[in-house]
Amino acid sequence: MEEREIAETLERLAECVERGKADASSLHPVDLRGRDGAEELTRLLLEAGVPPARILDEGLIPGMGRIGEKFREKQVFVPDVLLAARAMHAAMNHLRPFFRSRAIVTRGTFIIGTVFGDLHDIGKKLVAMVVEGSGWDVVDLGVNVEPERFVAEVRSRPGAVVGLSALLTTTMPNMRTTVAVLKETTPCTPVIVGGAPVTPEFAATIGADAYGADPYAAVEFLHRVGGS
Amino acid sequence: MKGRAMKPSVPMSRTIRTMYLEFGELALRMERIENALGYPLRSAPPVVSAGIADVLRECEPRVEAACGYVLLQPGRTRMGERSIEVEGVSLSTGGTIAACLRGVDRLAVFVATAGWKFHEWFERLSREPDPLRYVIADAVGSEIAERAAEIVEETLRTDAALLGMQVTSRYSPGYCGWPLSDQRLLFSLLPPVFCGVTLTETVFMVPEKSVSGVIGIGERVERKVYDCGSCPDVLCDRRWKRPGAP
Repeated sequence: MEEREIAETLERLAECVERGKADASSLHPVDLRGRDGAEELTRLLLEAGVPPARILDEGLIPGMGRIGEKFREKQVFVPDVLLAARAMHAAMNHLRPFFRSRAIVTRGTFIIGTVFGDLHDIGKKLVAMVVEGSGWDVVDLGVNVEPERFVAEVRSRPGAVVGLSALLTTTMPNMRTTVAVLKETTPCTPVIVGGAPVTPEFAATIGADAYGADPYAAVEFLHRVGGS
Repeated sequence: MKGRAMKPSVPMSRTIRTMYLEFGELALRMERIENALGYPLRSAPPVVSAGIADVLRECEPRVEAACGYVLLQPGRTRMGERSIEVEGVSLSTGGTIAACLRGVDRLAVFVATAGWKFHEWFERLSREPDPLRYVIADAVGSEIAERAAEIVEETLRTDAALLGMQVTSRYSPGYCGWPLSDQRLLFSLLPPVFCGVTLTETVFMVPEKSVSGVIGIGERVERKVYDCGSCPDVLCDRRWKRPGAP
């Protein structure tokens, strides 16, 4: 495959991720029916000898970045981002062995969870998928997570960044407790908080390092504090 | 007395009404679910519309929707600038809601839910690797609870009309500046496990897809259109989710 063809295929791959075209059998989006999707294009590029890190950096991550911009501008909505993430995952199935062999190095580790007392999952899941799609290794601890569990995970993954989610005003105090425990036990761990009732002012008050209004704010923060 | 309508006497005790709803009674509308997912009218991609249709088909046997209200005792409602006191319980509704409830004679506390079976199914979906179906089920579950709440409001309106009274809109803790923590006080006015709904320690309603709140009743009250513009809570998630909202 010549360089021009590689560049074009990477661009098509980015488009497949952006528009949620996982594979050739995907019926979505309608105008790309019958064409190769992220899964086939990634395989094609690997077979052509394109380095997996380049596929990630010039195909997958730009695709996720573009859908992110549209999401922020309210041109697309949560299901569109999830469809993009689905396409990203279809491609990642081919790239995973290269992460294991260290041919691709993730930007870092992001540990995310919903604070104890709160069972809301969707916003946190969305952040996890978008962050993963931006080249980070993500550890999703789920919902109703005790502070000690965050601490244990941080200790087993030095250098990790933590994200906390809360969707109830009544669980925001638990977010405060979690940040306090993290800052006391692992003071160098950057912590970003988010969720519908959370504000930048609240984030600052409880000692969090940042507030994320949406998943892409988390990605920006991660790239600032720990990204390669 | 012939030819002159008799106004029924207002019962002086609490009135409790519970309803169990068939799936068809909810009359769920595809465009409202699409809208809840963010899409303006008829703009959802076919894959999302098909996903909603699938979820509706799959959840139908799991929906055990219920709703009901407790019409609190008359003569024991005191209005404040930012609160309302009923049966000795002071609800800190905030100024926006207190203003909308001004003039009410009685207050009804309502609950509406999609039920436990839906809750358990929804929880199982959360563990699936692809979250699209989970996100769609979340919107469908919220819509079921919302429709059940609309039905309880309509029922109360009909019941109130028999007493020659009007009803206000419905208002819930967590919105329009009414602290969510007041949910516990609200539930203290209900019989235990009313409509099968309880509160966790952090006042999270279970089953998850449930709605609670108050509706005012009075001879001179009116149902006001929900107006985000008059509410000081600029961070309310509903404000941003509503298309065209300020």
